[in-house]
Amino acid sequence: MAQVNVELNDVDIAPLFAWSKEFEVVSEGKTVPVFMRILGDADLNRARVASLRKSAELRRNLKDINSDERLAFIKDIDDLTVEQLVAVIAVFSMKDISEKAQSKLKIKPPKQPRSDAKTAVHEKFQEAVDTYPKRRQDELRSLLENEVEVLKNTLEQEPKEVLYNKYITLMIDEMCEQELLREFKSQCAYYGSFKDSSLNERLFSSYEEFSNLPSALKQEFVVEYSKMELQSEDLKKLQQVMP
Amino acid sequence: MLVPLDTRLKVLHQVPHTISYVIRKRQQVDSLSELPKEKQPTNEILWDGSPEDLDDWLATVFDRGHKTTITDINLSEVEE
Repeated sequence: MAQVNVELNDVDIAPLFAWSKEFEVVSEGKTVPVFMRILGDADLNRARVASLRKSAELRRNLKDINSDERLAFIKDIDDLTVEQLVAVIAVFSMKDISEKAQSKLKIKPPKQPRSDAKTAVHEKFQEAVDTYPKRRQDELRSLLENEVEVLKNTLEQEPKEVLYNKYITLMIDEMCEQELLREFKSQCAYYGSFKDSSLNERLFSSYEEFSNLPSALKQEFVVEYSKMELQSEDLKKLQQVMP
Repeated sequence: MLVPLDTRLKVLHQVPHTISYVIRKRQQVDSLSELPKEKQPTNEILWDGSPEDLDDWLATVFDRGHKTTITDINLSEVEE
């Protein structure tokens, strides 16, 4: 459960401009310099489209009851008890439950006082800002626990076949979402890697070349890219402080 | 594009998506802040809502339930 921070005074816009870097990887005993940059909009869209296609391919395979993927990842109904099905469904429903719980939150972010308010009022506001993440998280946790309990009670009334169908749907959704994320990160690392410091010549001649790297090496590229990229929450935060 | 950004960026397609997001969001915030206060979207819609949430909000505050259709256009006035 991620904490929501309303503190705006610790914002530093410098990371926004740290959009390229150089690092080295060791491949087949040789040290290779890599120049990496954050993707532009066009490459980002290419990465998004490619990952959607990959996720769709996995979804097709998982829906095919004779595919290797289906046999490997989706358990047979006889191999699962009702308790296991309820537990798995509850875990996979956490995202929806969390959204539902968040919509029921009563806590509101502290309201900034007027700039000419007394110091004591500003002090009180800052204290409310400092304690907001924990207060929000406590309320959210309590709401989540209630929602999970309600869901489990509802599920326990359902026949096993109904639960099993829910399990399949949720399992496929979850696996495809993970596949989408994995592929998107790989695509970003591929499009973002260059041979030269002027970031003109791609390091890999094709995505297949990148994809065929040893897993550990490929992961190094993915990790280096993710270290550089600002997350949307940080970007929003940067925006809010601009006058 | 060079001001006030980054002198390393020479052409538009080089702009990192993080920076272009901030530019687009800034433009959106600036545009929406031109609206009268009661018609401005809430912070939740602006920062956490989907583009459709924002469209719905604007449709509501501007009462855009009535859509222009072909029957609303007097064709005799189009080409005179």
